[in-house]
Amino acid sequence: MEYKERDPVKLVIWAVIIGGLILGLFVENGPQAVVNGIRFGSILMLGAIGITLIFRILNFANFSHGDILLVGAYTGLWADWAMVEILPRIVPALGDPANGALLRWSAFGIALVLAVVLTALVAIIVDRILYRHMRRSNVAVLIIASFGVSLFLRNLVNAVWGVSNQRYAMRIQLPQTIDVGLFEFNITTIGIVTIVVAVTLVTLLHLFLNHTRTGKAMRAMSDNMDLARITGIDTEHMIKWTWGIAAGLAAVAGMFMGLNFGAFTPNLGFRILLPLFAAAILGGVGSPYGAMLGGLVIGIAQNLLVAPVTGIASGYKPAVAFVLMIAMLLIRPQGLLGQRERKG
Amino acid sequence: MSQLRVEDLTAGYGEVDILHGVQMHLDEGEIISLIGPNGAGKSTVMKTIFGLLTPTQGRILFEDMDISGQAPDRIVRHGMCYVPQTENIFPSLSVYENLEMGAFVLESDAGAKIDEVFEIFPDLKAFRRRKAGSLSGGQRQMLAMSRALILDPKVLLLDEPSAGLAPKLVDMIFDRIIAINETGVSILMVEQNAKAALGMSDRGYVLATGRTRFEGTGQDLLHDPEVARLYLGG
Repeated sequence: MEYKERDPVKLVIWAVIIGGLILGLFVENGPQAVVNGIRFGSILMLGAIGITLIFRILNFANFSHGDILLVGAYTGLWADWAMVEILPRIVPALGDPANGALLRWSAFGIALVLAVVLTALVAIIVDRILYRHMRRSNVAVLIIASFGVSLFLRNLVNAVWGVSNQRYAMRIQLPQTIDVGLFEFNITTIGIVTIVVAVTLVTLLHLFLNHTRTGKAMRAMSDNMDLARITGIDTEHMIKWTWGIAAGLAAVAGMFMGLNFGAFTPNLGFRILLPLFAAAILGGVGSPYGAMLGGLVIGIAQNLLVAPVTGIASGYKPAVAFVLMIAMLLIRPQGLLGQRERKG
Repeated sequence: MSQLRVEDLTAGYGEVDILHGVQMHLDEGEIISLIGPNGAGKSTVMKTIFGLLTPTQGRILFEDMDISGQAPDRIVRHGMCYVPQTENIFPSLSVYENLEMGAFVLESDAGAKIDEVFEIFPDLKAFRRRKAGSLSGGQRQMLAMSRALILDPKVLLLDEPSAGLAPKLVDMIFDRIIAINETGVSILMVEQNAKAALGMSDRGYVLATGRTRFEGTGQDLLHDPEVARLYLGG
């Protein structure tokens, strides 16, 4: 049941977030931490949306989502290097060393599209083979099945690409300094592209959910699966869309993780799983807008909270996500934008 | 030819059967009430007809076509719609979006159909942009019925349309049901409000412990001393 709530706890949490953000801008290295946070947050946002969509529509916490993201990063890796080889043969001008940056960006762009398609297919196939037979199963069964999928995908990536460090063809970039009057921070072109792509995709998702027949049907399903079936919505078809979107966005997140943070290994998926869940829970599991907000808050908080403390290793960053997730579960389990558990 | 025929229907949840051989039929243009005490299996009959539960025995025929065990989204396409008792709207969607979902199987523009439904339930038009979750009980019931009517069904299944409504609203909903029936829609409804339901029905069935115990015209059942004693509260 929905009702307007004036929850004081919610107001306090909002005050802490906004206050923290403003205060953060004025501590040493603060603006830089905020910008780094927005960059990481954009990636988390793309990943967390998938967790939230699957949770709302299929009713389980998908612990394999990190490794779906990993599949995206590695199929993208294959496509990226392949494109760097192939593109100059199709467009000779790209073979000119002077056009190196253009070649690498084109290769990455095409690889991104291929990774989205391939990862979506992998997720849909896993659903057909496995989850489809468990639609009416207990949640615990689904969660454990998703652990199995997680291990399977990670080891598949291990087997195909090996366990050593990998990187995309893109060269390391020097950050540019951007001065916006009061603040000044450094950001690479990669960082800017990451944020722009994430914001674009999230906007497209918003338009899709609110203005297309399929998007509205997905929202209807997340409200009430049985009623959606009674109404005539082909729920199995919509579930394919759900996996496709969740996995496609995860693939983008995976590739941008690899691109922004240099070398990566098949542990990438497992390592990002915790911040992804933290983001989804913070925003309110089940609300795609909550996942977007949660991603940004976790991303910024991870960077900002360790910025002013000199001498703290950046390895403690993930702990911030953990602490925020536990705090949120204790204070307001339904998350920032989530609604209270529906009765019945 | 019966539009809807239920033969020897046995069904339930998991291992436990709730229905043990239900027999009933709905002819074209009729209103039929299914009444009976709590736990008799009235809602289970509806859910099984509509494919949310799979029958373990028996058949469900819609216009002589066996639809037992078909998925709900296929059954809708044959021209039968169902309004469950509770949770019969999509709360996070707007009123208009709820109606658009009602028209989902049409795969064409729903606008004209939605306007037709607004004529039957004018109150809804004012709330078209509101989230359905913010509607009152009566408005929800109207929205749920409108959602089902969008497809111009031949048969409409209504599960306790008057449940939880104020007496004034109950009369209004029953009036609308009669009006819908007069446009040629056959109606099968489950009602707790047995006297009122039988009063407006062509025929009725009394269900008890998963079996059809009595069958007759609405008036006959209302005046049957045994039905009255057992199920109409004296």
